[in-house]
Amino acid sequence: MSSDGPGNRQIEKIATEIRGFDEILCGGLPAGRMTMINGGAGTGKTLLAMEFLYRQAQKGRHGVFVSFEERADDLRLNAQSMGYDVARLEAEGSLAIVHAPAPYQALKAGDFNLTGMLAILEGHMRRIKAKLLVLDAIDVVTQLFGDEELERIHLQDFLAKLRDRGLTVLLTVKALAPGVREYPFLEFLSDCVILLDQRVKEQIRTRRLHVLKYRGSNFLPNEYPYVIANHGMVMLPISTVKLDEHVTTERIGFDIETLDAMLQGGLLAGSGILLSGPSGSGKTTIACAFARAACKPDHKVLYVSFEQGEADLCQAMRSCGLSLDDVVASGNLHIHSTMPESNGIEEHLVQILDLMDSLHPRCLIVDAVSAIGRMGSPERVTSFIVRLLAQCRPRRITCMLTDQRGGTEANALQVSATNVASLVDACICLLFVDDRQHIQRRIFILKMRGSKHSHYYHSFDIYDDGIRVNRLESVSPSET
Amino acid sequence: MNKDEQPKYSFLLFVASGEANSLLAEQNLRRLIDDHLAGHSDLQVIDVFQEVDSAINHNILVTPCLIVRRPLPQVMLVGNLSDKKQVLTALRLSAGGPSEP
Repeated sequence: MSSDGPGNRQIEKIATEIRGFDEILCGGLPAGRMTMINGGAGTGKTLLAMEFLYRQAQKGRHGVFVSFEERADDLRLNAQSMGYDVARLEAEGSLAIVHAPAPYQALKAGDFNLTGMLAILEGHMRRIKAKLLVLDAIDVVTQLFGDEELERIHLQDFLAKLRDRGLTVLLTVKALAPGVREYPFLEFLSDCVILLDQRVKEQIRTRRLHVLKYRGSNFLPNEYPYVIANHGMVMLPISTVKLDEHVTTERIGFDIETLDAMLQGGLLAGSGILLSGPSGSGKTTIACAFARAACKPDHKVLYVSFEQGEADLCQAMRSCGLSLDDVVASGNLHIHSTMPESNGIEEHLVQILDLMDSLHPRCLIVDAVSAIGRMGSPERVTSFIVRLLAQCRPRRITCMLTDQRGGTEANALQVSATNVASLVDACICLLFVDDRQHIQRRIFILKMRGSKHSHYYHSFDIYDDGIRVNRLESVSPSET
Repeated sequence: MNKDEQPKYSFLLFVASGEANSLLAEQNLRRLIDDHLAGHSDLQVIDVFQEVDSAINHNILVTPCLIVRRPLPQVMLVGNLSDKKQVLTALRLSAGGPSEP
């Protein structure tokens, strides 16, 4: 009945509930099987395993976390700092965190095996009726054998016994050097292998996750950046972006008469808009006018400012008659001001998504996406925008991105040729025109999907009491 | 031996019953006791599957595993105890001929 052949039946999976991870894993980790997480120091192996158990325990799936290295109290503290109430889950008996340090000081007097560990694990799991097991840093135990061949034989034997018992096992193993995988045989034994790594390029750290293999299942094949956010791991794979558009007729205006008329009443709610123009052309002022107009008693706006702080921004707007003070005070306008260099692209993206999830804004303004270029290559800026828009669309958040382009008319038109312009639904361009007497500001609508719009250049200027936009034929006499 | 005194040597041997190394460890230990420590030791053999709590409390990750509780300081030996020299060292008995306990 299904289009898949009989051999393609999907294996049973456990959804991890870790944002983005299940998309990469096409549903989750394999149930009743073994998954290995391999990564260097600081890549978050332990955290990923802990978050998995924590989220399962919350859903009533019991699990035991056995750490062969870190002390249980340290793990509890780390988990609690991520907001995981592991103490409660342990008290309820849905989670157990156990420290089982490798017996380093023991003297060796002949052959031995890992049966003791098996008995201990079974004991812990029986006690809380657990089916999920994390073995964190198992390599420190097997190093006791002091011989690679013995290590392999005993670990293989031990893991086969766990597998026979139908447990879902997550192993973490250290990678001592990036790209070097210490336990190749574990990769063969595991049904699913996840590699974590972190690199620093041009002083910016990026962490990446890659599924090396997943027996019996599809998975997304690329490397995906991930972030250790303050509540857990987040991955935002670009490949899972769905392009489902929805039709809307609701419009959000700027409360600038002529500009709104150019837009047939305003921008379409839920669309992505690029506001592009050279430095000083008034992008921020127009964006703030939009923010102000979109703030209604029951509508919030999130303004991400990469260029200036909240106080500076409010002061600048006050000087042109666009006071934001009341909407900031009422909480309808939330200004998130951050230095692009303070974080990597992924961290910024996750921060914005977290704010979107807590504020539920009607509109998001990012001023300016071009600042993100300081954090990485042009491809990464595009990837940031694609994923941000993809997160805005299903939430029906109108997303305005300001973008700094060169100052000439020709450059402004070239905006349409950039990657960014093709990603958004609407594009408003600002530019300067030099008539040999003075510099004039111009505004025009380059495109607007799903709506009619003006095709004329308009002049615009910023006065003490606001912005005025005029058709060129009727330039107001005050504009001399 | 003075009946009021505890034996000088006290052993906990953790085994996985049925496994060859565990059987060997117990044999090796009993022989060593007979040869060197007759009347001066007590031995408790614990199956990790039968007495899981005890295995957990002593954090027995590998079997067989011998804990020498006395004399102090406590020592842990892993393996089937075939390395007699290592065992005697751990018991602070010379590896040569029998010494007085």
